[in-house]
Amino acid sequence: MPGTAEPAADAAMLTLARESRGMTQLDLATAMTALAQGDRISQGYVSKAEAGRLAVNGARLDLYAQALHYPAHMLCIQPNVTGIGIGLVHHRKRAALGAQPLRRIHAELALACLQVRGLVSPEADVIHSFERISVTDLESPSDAARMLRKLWNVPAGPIHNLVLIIEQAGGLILVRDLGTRDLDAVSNWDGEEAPLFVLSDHAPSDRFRFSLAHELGHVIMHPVAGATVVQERQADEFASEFLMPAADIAAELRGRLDLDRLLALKQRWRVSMAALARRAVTLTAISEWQYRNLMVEMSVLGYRTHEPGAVAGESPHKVTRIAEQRTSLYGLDQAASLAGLLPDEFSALYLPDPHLARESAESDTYARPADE
Amino acid sequence: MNDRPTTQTESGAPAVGHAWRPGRAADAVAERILLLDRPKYVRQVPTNLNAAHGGLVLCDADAGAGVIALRKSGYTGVLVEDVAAYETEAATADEPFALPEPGLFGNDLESVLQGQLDRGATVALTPTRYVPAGASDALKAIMATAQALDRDDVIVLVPVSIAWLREESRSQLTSVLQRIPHPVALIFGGQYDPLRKFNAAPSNLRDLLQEVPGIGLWRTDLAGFDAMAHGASFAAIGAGGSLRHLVPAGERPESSKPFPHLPTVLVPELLRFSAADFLADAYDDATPPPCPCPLCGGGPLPVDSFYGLTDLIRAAAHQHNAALWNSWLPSLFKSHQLGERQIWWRNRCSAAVDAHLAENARIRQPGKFKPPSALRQWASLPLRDTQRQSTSRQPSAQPTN
Repeated sequence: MPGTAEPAADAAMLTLARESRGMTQLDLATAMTALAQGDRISQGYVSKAEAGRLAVNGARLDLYAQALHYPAHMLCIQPNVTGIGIGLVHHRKRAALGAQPLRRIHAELALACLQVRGLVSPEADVIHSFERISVTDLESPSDAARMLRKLWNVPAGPIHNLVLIIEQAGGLILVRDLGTRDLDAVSNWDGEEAPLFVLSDHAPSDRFRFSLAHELGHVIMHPVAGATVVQERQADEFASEFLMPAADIAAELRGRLDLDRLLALKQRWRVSMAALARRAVTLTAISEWQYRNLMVEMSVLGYRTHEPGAVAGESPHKVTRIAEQRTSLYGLDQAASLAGLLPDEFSALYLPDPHLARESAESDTYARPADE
Repeated sequence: MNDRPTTQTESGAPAVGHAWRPGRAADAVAERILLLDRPKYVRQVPTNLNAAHGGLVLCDADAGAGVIALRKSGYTGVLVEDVAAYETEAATADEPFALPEPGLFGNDLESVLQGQLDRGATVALTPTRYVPAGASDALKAIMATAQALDRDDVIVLVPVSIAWLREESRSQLTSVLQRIPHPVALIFGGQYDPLRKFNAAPSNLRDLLQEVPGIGLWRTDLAGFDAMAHGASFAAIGAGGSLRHLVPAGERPESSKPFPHLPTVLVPELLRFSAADFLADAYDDATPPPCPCPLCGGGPLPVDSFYGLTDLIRAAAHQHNAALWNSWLPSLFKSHQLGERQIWWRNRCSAAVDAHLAENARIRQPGKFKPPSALRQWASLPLRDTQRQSTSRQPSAQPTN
């Protein structure tokens, strides 16, 4: 159409998209060269494109999209405009995780935000009851956890399904292979739309739950992500109180706390034996000496790496349900396009039921209603 | 409310900004270590409490009757009524204090406090319930009520789980205490000796005393001396074992020995309380060490006279204990400079640790007496804030009524 500018890639999005694939600029240049049939793409070209010093559009945009396995239109979105910048990312990770894998995971989270935000309907799907609760010298992270339980009407005692509670509050949860065992979870909340939590699929359920509660603490308490020791400690304290409220669990931790009792308590509270022992010493239900003895026993028995008494897993459903609805309504290609993905990857990430994915692909004639 | 300066004043006032204000209650208990005992063991006017630096707390649901009786008997020293609601009742956000049933006359906090003064107490003490670990709503409710008390003759009792002294909770406790505009009597609860629950407890307590000057350590043991050397304004030491350490409300006391226990006896050179049966065993074949307290008169510690479960024997043990540590008070309070107090106290503790070895050798029972961990820490932790002056004798910023 005359006068309409040709779509061009956004420089920041090019960087995010590449990092989400775990590729270096050289990797990407090599992949594009292989696809370009004789045309050589240099690392310098990629660098300039990501710096915004040259426009990527037309055939080059298609090439870029093909090499990154994203739809071309997704590369034209400005991440900062749509609120998927990585400034608000919290993560629960081990110190061993290097900067490069962390950038990849942050990029994945940013794009996961984009995908989910593309799928959800702002009117229906993102109504939530998340609130920021400030931590001050008088209001502790434990206070914030208690306040949130009250706000969400969580009954006293153990939380049987944390994922369900967060989803009912409007939170969006994804479980992904984050490509590393050194990171358990990341989260993102801009303070307005529903927060997003991305959890690693490698962790046992008890650890998964604690990581999710930890991230919940971050999004509730920390409007500015800093990954500081203080923020991490506060998120841990929040998680402990949210999953094991002092008022409810203290009496159960008193008396002789041995491994058998910890195992029984693990089944009831659905947190790890290590977390329970830590909670017991924090509440001074046991002494530090008793805590050390428990840790030594657990270490000798190998429980520090593989605890017995696995608790049943929890699976998020909300995002999948929305993806399924969109697929049913618009067809696979269009639903994938809404998410900024190609159909095969969209199916793999958001449609765990292969039957639905196939069915949707076959009946792709489901057209968007004319009046939309 | 008088916010205090953040640096040391010329008059030597405590150096931190917080809401504590001097007044009659603060003046009455400043620079004192009080004896805390059950009324049933204090039938007569106590004679071995130091007049300048001692005093008495009657601790019981019926403490009020004991206060009246002692005043009638002519006791003129510092006297406090502690109804010990914290022994059996946990504080909540709605009901942090133990007050008479609604509808009864004088069921409000002000009336309860005035009642104590009317019975003859030197200062009023809030009937605060116990604050378990994590019960911050209850803790803040105590603070809010205390902030609304417009009088200067009250000490606010804050009985909390020792968990509040852990690193995770201490800053919140400190913030709450700093906002209470009255002298605060702090009790730590926990099974056995609360200050032994975790290694950093004695050091964290010293930090707290630095951050919240003017508070007192209540219902404690010789930690009261350590506190006074590190900035506490006052302390109250329990006469017997159950009064030196608070078992949290709602919990049964845990013990490695069956109950009832024989009285515990303060052994002078060792700075330790030991059960009478333990001492009887230790000195079965040796002469007990001499005791300089006024009751023992320099003779051997009369271990056998404390061996029994009657009230009379228990009262005798309590009197010995109080007489002995009261005799140390003039030395502790000789200097107003905390640094000098700390040196005196550390030297005493250090000598006591060494004395354990010497006593074991003397009675030929290696390892019989083991220095308590708190004593070892008091003997070795570094001095701090040494130039600060004690809170004593500061001119009141509040006019007294």
